[in-house]
Amino acid sequence: MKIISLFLCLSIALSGCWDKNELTSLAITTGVAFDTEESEEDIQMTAQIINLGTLAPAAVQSSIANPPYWNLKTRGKTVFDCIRNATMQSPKKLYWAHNQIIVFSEDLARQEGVGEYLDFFFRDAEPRISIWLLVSKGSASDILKMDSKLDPIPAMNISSLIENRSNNAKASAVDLYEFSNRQLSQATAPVMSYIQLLSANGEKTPLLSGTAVFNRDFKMIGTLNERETRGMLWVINHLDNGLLVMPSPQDEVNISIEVISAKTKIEPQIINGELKIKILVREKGVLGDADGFVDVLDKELWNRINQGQAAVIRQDILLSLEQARLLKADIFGFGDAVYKKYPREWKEIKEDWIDIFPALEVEIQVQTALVRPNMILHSINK
Amino acid sequence: MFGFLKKKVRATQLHRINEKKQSPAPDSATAGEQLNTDLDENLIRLREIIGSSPDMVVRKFNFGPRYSYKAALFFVDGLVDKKIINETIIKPLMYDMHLLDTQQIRPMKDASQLQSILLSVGDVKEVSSFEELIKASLYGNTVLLVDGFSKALDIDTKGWQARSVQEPTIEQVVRGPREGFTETLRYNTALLRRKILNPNLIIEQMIVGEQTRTHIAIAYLKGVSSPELLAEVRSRLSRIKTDAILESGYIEQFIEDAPYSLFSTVGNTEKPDIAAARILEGRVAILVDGTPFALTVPMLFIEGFQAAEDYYSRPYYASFIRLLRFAAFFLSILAPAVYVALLTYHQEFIPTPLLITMALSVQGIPFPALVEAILMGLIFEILREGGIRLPQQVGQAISIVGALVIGQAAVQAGLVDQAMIILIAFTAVSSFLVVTHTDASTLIRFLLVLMAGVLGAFGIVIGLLALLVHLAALRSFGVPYLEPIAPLVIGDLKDSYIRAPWWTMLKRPHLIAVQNPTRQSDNLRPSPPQPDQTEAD
Repeated sequence: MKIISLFLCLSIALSGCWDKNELTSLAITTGVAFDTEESEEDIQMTAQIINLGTLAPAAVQSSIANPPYWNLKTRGKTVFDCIRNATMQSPKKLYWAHNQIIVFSEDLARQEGVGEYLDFFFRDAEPRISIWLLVSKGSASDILKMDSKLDPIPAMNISSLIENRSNNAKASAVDLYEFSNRQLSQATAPVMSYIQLLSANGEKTPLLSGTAVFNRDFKMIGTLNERETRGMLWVINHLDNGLLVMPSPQDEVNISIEVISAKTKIEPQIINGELKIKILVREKGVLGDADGFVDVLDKELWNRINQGQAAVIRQDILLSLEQARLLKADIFGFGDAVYKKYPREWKEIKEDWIDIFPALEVEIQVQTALVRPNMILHSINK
Repeated sequence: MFGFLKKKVRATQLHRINEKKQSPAPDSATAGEQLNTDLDENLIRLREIIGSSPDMVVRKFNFGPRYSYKAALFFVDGLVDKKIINETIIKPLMYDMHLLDTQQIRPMKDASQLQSILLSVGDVKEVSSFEELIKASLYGNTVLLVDGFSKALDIDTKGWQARSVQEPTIEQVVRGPREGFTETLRYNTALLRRKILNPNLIIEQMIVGEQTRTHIAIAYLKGVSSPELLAEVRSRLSRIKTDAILESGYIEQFIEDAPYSLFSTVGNTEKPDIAAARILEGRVAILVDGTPFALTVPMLFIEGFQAAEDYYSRPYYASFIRLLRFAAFFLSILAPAVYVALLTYHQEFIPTPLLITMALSVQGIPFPALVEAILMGLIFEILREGGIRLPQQVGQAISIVGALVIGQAAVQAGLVDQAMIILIAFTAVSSFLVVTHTDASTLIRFLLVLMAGVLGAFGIVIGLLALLVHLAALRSFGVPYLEPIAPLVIGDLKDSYIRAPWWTMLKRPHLIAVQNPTRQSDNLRPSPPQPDQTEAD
């Protein structure tokens, strides 16, 4: 009796803002793109909605005329306004819990910055904090129109693309959580993935490579190329399975080393009042591929290959450091490392960090190990 | 409003008490009436009591030297074995008596000499009242009345048509005894005796039901069952004053602890080996004449998850199946509710690829998920009930209707989504893994679906909590229903989620076999023979 009365009371109390949505009344949004708009005041938003009618298993290979998604273009004063305006065009309410990606066009990111666009995605209850953030070279809505191979929905395709980036270690992957973490930290510059479309034979396919770098006012200030991106990934500990290609120390052949584990420590040091950053990379790799003959039983050669991979890593980091200095963007989180170790000193230099950072002395130590030659001892090439 | 309700309730209670006072004591014209010495008078009185029922037979005859003794047999045709009557009563009296030397037969004053010399049947008793006489004859006995004797003889001649011992239909096993209880009480007690060949197996018999006068028997193991439990069972049984006991279910509903609960607090089984196992654990079995099920008390929630075969097969697979049964039980009460909650409230909980599959499945379905779940659930229950009740010849129609009309046509017509059909079918099947609780789990499933449809996952949690509180509050003959889980009894966990090997189960259930908890000695683990010490030297 008590339980029943409790239940009745609760059901009355809770019915107020209870949100019942039948699945059939929702438009599942998988991706959203923001582009620049001629009239400065408006925001132009493209939302990619799954079109269930053409996604039915039999219709997976549907014609281009009838893709399994609908790119709904709306505009409004704010992002939320755009979304609510979308219901003037869409019979179903946009549902954001399964949104995978947010794409900004490079123009928009450079001119306006992305700050005003992101607030909604943090504030609203529906979107997840794990949405991937990307900057597109060229129009962002074009990304959502690309020819999607293997996965019928472009946004899902890109999402999988980002999840698989650790195999190449040449692109960064940033979701809302990491982006905001960087922004909320002491001095770290936020970054996003960088995506462009390749055109070949009239087909437009995506290429995820490099990194878009933002300043702390959410304006894009530059990009890192593939190698610089890898340099950054070494330092921020986000590299777990890349490939290092380098010339063999012996012959004119290329060898590939697969990274199987990597761990980096950033250690700020103040010596005689001078701030210095020490980066210690510990890496393990295996011999993955050799174009020519490599005698793996030759201990000296093996050591030289190992030293070679350390040199590649050092070069990666140096290149990215150079670019970061140029952009005056602390993409590595050196500032935060200093703040954690020397909170008192940090207070004094915090304001001038943007000027201190490019002149910072950085010491790079790389400890590598070449673990095994994988499945064969001798090369098939002689 | 509550005041008004209170008054109403009080009024009905008072009314009931008054009714009770007025209801007359059970009427019995024959109560205590003693037999006469005059046979004719007795027979006239007997006819008055039994009326003119043609199956109640009175057979008069004379016997003895010069046929000087007038006698009559009284029995119910159909309940007795006529062969026994002819061979062991009429023949000795009318024929064999002549073979005896007439000098040996002193003039008889009462029936004891007849009993000791002439009647060649197993069970003979003396009765002296009409009540006893009729009671005996209605239970298949034959009563011998002799002119001049103040007592009659009650001779066991039971022999009605009964179903023989067959394999039970519900509790079937791959490994284990195949015999099941039948409708005849005496067979059932015999089946128990065959399992426990021990004089400590006590069977107490009593009669319940004012009109039906059904024989019921309490079976327990002296020294293991606690006297408090026995006293409680006896007192609960003896307070039943009702017209009829046609099935053990009547008894169950009169003696259960929680008559308003969805869960049964009285166990039942149709297998003598299960009943024997429960008796050996200190429980009390109640056998009811005319019912092929034995009731066992106290009953625990966990009993629903224990099958006879768990104990006969090796512990690993038995434990796996136990866990599977728990999973299936929770699945059967939760699955449709969770599906409805996910579909209507928590789409964000579903991984995206699965959500797309589900969205494809519900696309174009005109009903909300809640309505769909309840409709499909009801349709399944209708099919199930139809399958049980329909004559076997038309029973096949059910499966065709179920498979074709509901399964295929409804999905193709876009009336229900495939995922829901799969789920309901799967849920229904899994609820039968725990047969004891199938009634409860079916109803709880509907309740939870409703709660999920109204409040989402929140409703499910409230429903489950209410269920848990309810189960934890239940008692069966003084034993907490959720024992050994709540209250936690570590030792008894050996036979709960898993079934530990027999040689580890040293104790009987802690809260049931209070009096005598030890089942076996603790060095029973089989091990390879130890090398002989002297030989090693």
